[in-house]
Amino acid sequence: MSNNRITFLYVSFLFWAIIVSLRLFYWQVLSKDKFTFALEKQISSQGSVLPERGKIYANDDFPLVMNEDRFLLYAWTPQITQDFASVLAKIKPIIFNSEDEDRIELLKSNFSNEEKQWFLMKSNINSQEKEKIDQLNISGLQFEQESLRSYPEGSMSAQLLGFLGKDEVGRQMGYFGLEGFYQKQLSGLIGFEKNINGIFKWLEGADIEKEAKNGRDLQLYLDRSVQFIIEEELKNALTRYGAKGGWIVVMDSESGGIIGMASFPNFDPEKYYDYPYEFLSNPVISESFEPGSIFKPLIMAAAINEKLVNSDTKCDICSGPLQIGEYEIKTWNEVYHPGSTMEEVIKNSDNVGMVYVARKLGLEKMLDYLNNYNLTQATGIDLQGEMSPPVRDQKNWYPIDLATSSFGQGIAITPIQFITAFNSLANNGEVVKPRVVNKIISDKEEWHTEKEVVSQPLNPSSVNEITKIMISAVNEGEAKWAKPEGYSIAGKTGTAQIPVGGDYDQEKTIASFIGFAPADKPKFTMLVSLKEPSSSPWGSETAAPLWFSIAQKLFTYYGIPSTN
Amino acid sequence: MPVMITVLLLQLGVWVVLHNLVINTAITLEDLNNQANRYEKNIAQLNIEIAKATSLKTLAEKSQEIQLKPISEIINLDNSPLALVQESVLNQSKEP
Repeated sequence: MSNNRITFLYVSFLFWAIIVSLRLFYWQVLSKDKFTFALEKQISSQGSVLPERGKIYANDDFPLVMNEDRFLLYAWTPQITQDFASVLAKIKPIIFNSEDEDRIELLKSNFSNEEKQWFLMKSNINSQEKEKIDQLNISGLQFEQESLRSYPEGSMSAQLLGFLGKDEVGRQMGYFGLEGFYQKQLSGLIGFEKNINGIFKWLEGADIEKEAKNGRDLQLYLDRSVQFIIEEELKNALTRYGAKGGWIVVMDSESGGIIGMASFPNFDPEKYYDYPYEFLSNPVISESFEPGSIFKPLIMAAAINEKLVNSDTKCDICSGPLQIGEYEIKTWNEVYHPGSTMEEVIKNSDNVGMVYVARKLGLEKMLDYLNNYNLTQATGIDLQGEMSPPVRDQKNWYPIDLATSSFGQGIAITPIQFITAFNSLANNGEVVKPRVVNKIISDKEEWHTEKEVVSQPLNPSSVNEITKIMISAVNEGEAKWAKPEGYSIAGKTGTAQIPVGGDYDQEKTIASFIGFAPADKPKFTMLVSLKEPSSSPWGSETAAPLWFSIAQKLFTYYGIPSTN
Repeated sequence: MPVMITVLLLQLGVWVVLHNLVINTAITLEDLNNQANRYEKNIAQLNIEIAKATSLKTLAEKSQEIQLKPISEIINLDNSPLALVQESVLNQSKEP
């Protein structure tokens, strides 16, 4: 009997052991994932760790864009034990001013509305203000941290930098300029944090975390002193010449680095949402224009390079206006110079003389050169928003198109395309890709951007010849009165009519000057354009003096001595 | 028996001391870490303030406030020390 009882007990224990083992097998093996997930949900909380966005520095390591911790202040009304009016009275002197009266009224109505238990009281609160509010010890007030972009130089180079906004799901996203182009580099990688709660913290050890990787910093070619000079000069010039807008680009002649890029109207990147779209985009890379006479040196250089003309070649069609089909080509002042040399054609900015050059060059060669100057495609500058106006097929070019494009009308390009092509005249005939960023810097290493030669449309001897012609144009041309004395400058003025509805408006012009200096060993290439100047439509009376005034300051800044 | 109790008490004592040391070290490290984070944030904030205070924008505003003139204008002002110096230099150069 006792043996039976022992056997019974043994069997029943065995039975229960098998049942328990099977159940454990089910829990621990078959349903492992389900229960692990349920356990993790109970004992841990998860969240993402946001990386710090990369900063942007000028070439002297001065920060142009930094990150600043700011806070959003929320009210959680069930926890507010004090009278809301007294809460407002306490925090008002810290974060509100007289302009916020409407907002305070709105907050009061929010508080009296029982449906609104959680509402935003104020955004953009700095650390000191937060600390003062913390010291008041008011229950029910809660802060949420956010990282905002801070611009020590204010709106300087805003269109080049771009701005930081939000995407459709509320994540930070760079738009336009550098912020847009380098979004991936600047934004870094989001980290992952898993906090273990209670007793399990001791069992599991430390919090499990995948570290966030901060964004990479950018160091630019941009020189903030040069940028400051060109922005101030452009601002003053708009008033002085009554222009509607304008742009200035300064490029390092050798490397293609952008030393300065300014355009007006522009915007405040901290309040980008207050500005219309056209203020946000950078006209230097996104607006097409007909360059006018500043285009002439490129065509002349092409003809010299092909050995079709030289400085002394005489124009045999320059004695009067030229009829092409139903169109008549005239000079800008309707003064004609029979038998002009090519040097005089550039000096007098002679449209008829340029038609002579274009005819010598021929359409096929001209299109080849436009292609080699890289004017038929985007430059690939490291800024978001670059566009490239389409170029007509060869079969759609008519004799009048060949004629007008020789003096920069009927052909549309962006300012950055033009200065990139023109810079080849300052750089031994090489077209160099323009660049804004010099270095990309991470926590551990840094990368230099490489100089990239896109093409070489001209040989050095042709470049020397066109440079001499342009020096003579500056020394003896229309704008010679404004030129800084004792400096050798190669450049060209231009006044382009603006196409309106398929025709040209005689009153509306874009006045420009492009050049490089010192001409024998160029330090910088600069393009200055003013839109619709009202004091005078001519580039020689508006853009050229502005160019020379800036150049004088740059000579002093770079310590380039005068030969006088 | 008393020896065993003494050994046990000693072990307990060592354990308490070591445990306290570990906990104190952990707390101190945590404090230091928090302090470092706070200082890092303060430094970042100060860097922003320094950058704003030394920006060309601020310097230009300040120079306007105190009516600082560009050197080119100062040279051209009558009776300015620089103009006098320049004049004396020019006069010197005219001497035989």
